[in-house]
Formats: sequence, structure tokens, C-alpha cells
Amino acid sequence: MKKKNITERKIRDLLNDQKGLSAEQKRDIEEIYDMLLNDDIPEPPDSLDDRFYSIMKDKIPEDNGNYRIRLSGFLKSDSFRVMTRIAAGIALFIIGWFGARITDSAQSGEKQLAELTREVSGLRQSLVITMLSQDSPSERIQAVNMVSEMNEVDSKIIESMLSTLNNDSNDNVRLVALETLTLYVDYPEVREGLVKSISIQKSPLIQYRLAEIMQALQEGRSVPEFQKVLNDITLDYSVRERINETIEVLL
Amino acid sequence: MEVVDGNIDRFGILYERYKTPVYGYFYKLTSGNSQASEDLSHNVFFKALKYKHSFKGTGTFARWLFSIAHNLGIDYLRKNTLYHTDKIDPELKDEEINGTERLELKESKAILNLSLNKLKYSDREILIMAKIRELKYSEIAEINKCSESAVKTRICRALKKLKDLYVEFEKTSYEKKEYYRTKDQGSAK
Amino acid sequence: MKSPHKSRKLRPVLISIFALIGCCVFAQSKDLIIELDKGKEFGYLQFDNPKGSVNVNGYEGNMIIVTGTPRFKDKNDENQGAYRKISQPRFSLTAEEKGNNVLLMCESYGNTIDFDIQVPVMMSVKIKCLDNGNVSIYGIKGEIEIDNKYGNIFAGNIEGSSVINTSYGDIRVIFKELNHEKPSMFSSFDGDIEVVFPDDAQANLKIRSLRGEILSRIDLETYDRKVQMQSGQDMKRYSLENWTRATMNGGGTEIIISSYSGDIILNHKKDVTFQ
Repeated sequence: MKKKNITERKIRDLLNDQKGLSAEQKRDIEEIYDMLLNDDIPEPPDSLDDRFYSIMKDKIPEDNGNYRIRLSGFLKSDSFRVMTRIAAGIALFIIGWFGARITDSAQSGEKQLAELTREVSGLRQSLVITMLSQDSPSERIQAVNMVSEMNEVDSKIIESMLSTLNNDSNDNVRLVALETLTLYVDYPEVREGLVKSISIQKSPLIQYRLAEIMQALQEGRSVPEFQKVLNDITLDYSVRERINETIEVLL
Repeated sequence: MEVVDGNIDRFGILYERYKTPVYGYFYKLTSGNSQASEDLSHNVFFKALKYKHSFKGTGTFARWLFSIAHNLGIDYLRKNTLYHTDKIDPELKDEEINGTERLELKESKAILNLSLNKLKYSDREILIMAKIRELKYSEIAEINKCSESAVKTRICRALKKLKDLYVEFEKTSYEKKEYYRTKDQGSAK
Repeated sequence: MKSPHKSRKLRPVLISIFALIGCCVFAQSKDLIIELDKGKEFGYLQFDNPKGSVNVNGYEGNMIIVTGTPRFKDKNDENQGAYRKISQPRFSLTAEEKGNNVLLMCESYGNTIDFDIQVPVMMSVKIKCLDNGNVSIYGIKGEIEIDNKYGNIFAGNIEGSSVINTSYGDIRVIFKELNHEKPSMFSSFDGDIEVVFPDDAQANLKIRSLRGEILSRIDLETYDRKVQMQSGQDMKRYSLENWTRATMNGGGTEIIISSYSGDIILNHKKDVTFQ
């Protein structure tokens, strides 16, 4: 009975708004729709359950939904080898931490938690550095993305980002490294590094972005570097205009 | 917000709740191809599991899930010409004469499915989607990227075509039965 | 940055078949065939062509077949008086292969040479061109890395992650499938970038064109992302990101597209017709 009410309401709902239908047409539609809605659907086979629950078992928890590791490809990569070594190190550390916790007082537990957090973020940083040396530019882009998600970075990470910006063979990887570095312009070494990078860059997109960034930062130290770039006769015209604008504003 | 917290266990509960309508959706869409339906259903839940973090909670989970199913169906369509099939419901047997009433019910179900299979993909798909209890018309509209009234009009038009086909098949079936009946009578004499 | 071919011991594998076509009317084409080890996984093919175009096609097999054709007729092919000029090769091709990773090298002495390369579908390719030619990749399932400074880039029927950039050319990418885990990125300074997605594609887009427009036939859900500038100090600074972020069909593979003056065009497969 309840089922019939739902279908009745569904049919009524459909036909309510329909103008321009004769009573007979409406009746036809009602009849066939009723038949359709009451037509049974089969139960899925057991094999569907099997397949679903097996993938549930293998599922690896995601990290911010941003960086997903597929197990089969991951196992073959260098990152995995580094991770297993570091994971072993962490496992030992955790065991040691638990052991220490039993003997120590509650106050130092907080300090040890901070240490554990540092150790885990150290894992992430090692992973980034490993990924930055992979052949696949895609993986290097992933590494740079990971850095942009980090809450705090140490000088090692900054160094790796600057190194990527200056040395990576792929223009796109260098471009995302630049974008990530703009998140950290308040660190003095980042600013310095960006300024030093100006005369090295050859990709017009990167040169253009640097001009924008330096102007926004009001970074006067960039002017002599940009002037070096202007000496390059192959410099793109739009980039040249932009650099001139930056220099004018900063002087 | 059933799944936003990314809790895997809860996802199992959602699977149990939606596996039948999802499977049923593909079963009708593929004209009763149980293997294809299973594969497609599995892919829906696999994708949903993989991208569950991207379900932002705007709209219901059912809409999100069936949006994935809808798109997988279209992909399947591209790979397999799936417009028409004359496959008859295997449960129907012309020769069965025991329990005429049961036969009639089975027969009408068979004719309905035959008619459904004769519809073009987009018509069949929207009717099957309308069949899903868990989906409101507004949600079907969102999946199909059109307005609610447009969806209802589409459904009505598809139902009209379905009705026409049904009548056609019913007539053919009756004529066939009449033919066999008179033939039997003739041979009995 | 690890440079793949420096740290390895190199074992040149040279199997070449010279194909002389006609008598001096057409430029000489050369073929190079590299047979890959069936037992091992497919690696990548790396090739730099400073002048000329490169066409790569994926096929079911396990050989790499490279055909180089000089584009222009050699002015010096005419005979000189009683002497018949013997044509000298305008380019040389060598390949170094290690563990199914192939480094293809061409010495072209300043000539423009066009290349047609057939590779097994599962291979990854890394192509770098400078001038005088377009790069076109078709039907590859591996990863793709292309840099063509002055020419156009076309990548059709691809599945793997692709990192493509050009300075002045246009980019056109047609994804057959979009379910790879790693991000793809396309950038061009002055050219347009068109990306064609499968109809059910799920992606997270990060797009920016400084002076061009972003046009899409695909329904996208855009959103703003506030980022926290890091400073290591007590003060926190926030700003709105420069990227336009959007999700397609709920989100999935990350696609980054960046251009200065070109337009960025996004289409579904059903919106476009193919040559």
C-alpha cells in the first residue's frame, strides 16, 4: 500500500506541470508510468559484493585528497624505498616513545608528541626531496604541490624549491615551483633566492611572473637583475614591456 | 553529509543501501546484460570510493552517485552500440499455457521490457532514472544539466513513445498468439 | 636533478636500414628500428629534434620504428658538369637503449628533419623540439613530456599524465581517458590551449591566463581558495590565490593550465569533431 502511494505521488508530480496534454494522453502516460514504476528490478549478484569489499580492504587512506598513492605504481618507485626506510625509523622511534612514556612523567609527554610530529613532517620532507629527483615531471609537480600544502617549511625545503626553480629541466615544473615559492616570500631567503633567479630564467611565462611578483613585493634589489635580462636580444617583447614597467615602478 | 568525513566504514553502509538501485539502473539500461551491469555497478562504487573526498555535500549523495552512474552509462554506450535489441525476456515462453494469468503478467512485463529496449538511449535512460526511488525530479534535472520542467517534459515524451511501442508489441503478440491458436485448432480437426 | 643518460653505462644499439628513395628528386629517408626487450616493462623514449617536426604514434608491438626525412631538397643535389654528385647523409641517427629506455639522438648539421616514430602504446615519451616543426603524439598510454618552443603541440587519444609546454605554439590535447593519478600540466606563453575531456571526466582544474580568456563548454564548479602565506613569524597573512580553481564532475585528476595571452578552451569529446 505504501509503495503505491509513492508511485501515485510520483506520477501526479510528473503530470501536474504538464500543460497541453489531453485527458486521454494523461491517462495513457499514467498507465504506462505506473507499469514502469512497478516493474521489479533484480537483486545484484553476490559477486558484486565480493568485488566491492575486496577494494574496500585495499583502500589506502587519502592525504587531503590531494596526493593519492596508487599502491602498485608506488611499490615500484624510489619514493617507496625511501619511505620504507623512514617508516622503519619511525616505527622504532614510536616504540621508543611508548617505552619512554611509561617511565617519564606526563609533562614530557607533550614534548615527545611535538618530537613525533617533527619526525612525521620530516618524513614528508624526505619524500618531497625524493620525488623531486624522479624522471617523471608529473611526480616533480606533485612534489611541489605537496610543499604548497605544508604548514611550515624548513630551509632544506626552501632550498629544494629554489633549486627546482633554477635547475629543473622542465619549464612547467619550474613554473609551479615559482608559484609555490610565492607563498613563502616572507622568508628572507626566499626573497633573496627569487631575486637571484631572475637572470637565470629563460621561459617567458616565468620571467613575466617574476616581474609581476617583484613589483608586488616592491623589491628594489630585483632591478639590476632585470636589467641583465633586458640585455638579452631574444627576450620576448611582452616580457620586455612588463619588465620595463616593473623597473619603472621600483625606481 | 553522510560521507564527507571520509569514513570508510560508513561508505560500506551506503554501498549496501544503493547497490540495488545502481545495479537495477544498469540492468535496465543494458537490456538485461547482467555481466555488464555488474561491471558498471562496480565501477560506480569504485569511483565513488576513490573520489569520495570530492563530494562536497551540495545535493544528496544519491544525486552524486547517480551522476557517476549516468556518465559511466554514456561511456558504455559509446563503446558498445546499445540502441536496440530484440532480446526477449527469457522467462516468456510462447508455449506455456499453465496459469494464464501468470503468463499474462509475465507477458506484459516482457512486452514492457521489449518496448523499453526499443527506445533510443537517451529516452530509455531518463525513464530508468525516473524509476529510481531515491532520486527526485530536481536531482535528475541536475544530473542531466537541465531544468526540472524540462526533465519532466522529456519523461512525458519518452513515456508516450514507450506507450506507443507497447501497444505495437501487444498487437503483434496477440496476432502471433491468434495465429498459433488457429493453427492448433486447424490441426486438431 | 638526476640526468638519466649520464650516470649509466651506455651501450649503443645501432640497427639501421638505409632506404634510398628514387634518385635525387626526393630527400633521403632513413629508418632506424629498435627492438625492445619483451620481458621488461616499457620505459620511455627520449628525443630532441632542434629543427623539424616529430610525429609519434602508438601501436601494438614492441619495436620503435623511427623514420627521419629531410624536409627540404638539398640544393647541392644537382650535378656539376661531368661529375655526378654523390649525396651525403644529411643527418645521422643513433639510439642508446638501456632496460627499455631509449635515448634517440640525431645529428642534423643544421638541416630540418621531420621524424615519424612508431612506439609501443605503453611507452612514455619525452620529446623536445625547438623550431620549424610541430609535435604530434597519438595513442600513447604512457606518460608524455613535450617541449616545443616555437611550434604547436597536438596530443590525441592519450591516457597518461602529460606535461606539455610551448612558448609560441598552440596546444591541443584530447584525452581518451582521464583516470591517471598524477597531475597533468599544459602551458603556453602566446598560444591557445585546448583540452578535450572524455564526457564523464572527473578533474580538479587549476587554470590561469594572464591576458587571455578561459572558455568552457563543460560545466565547472569554480571556487576560490584562500591561501595562507607562510612567514615563520607570528603574523599570518592571507590572500586569494591567483589560480582559477574548478572541479569537473565532482573532481579527480589534477590538471594545471597556464597561459599568458592565449585562450584556454575546455571541451567535452562530444562537443568537438575530429579530423
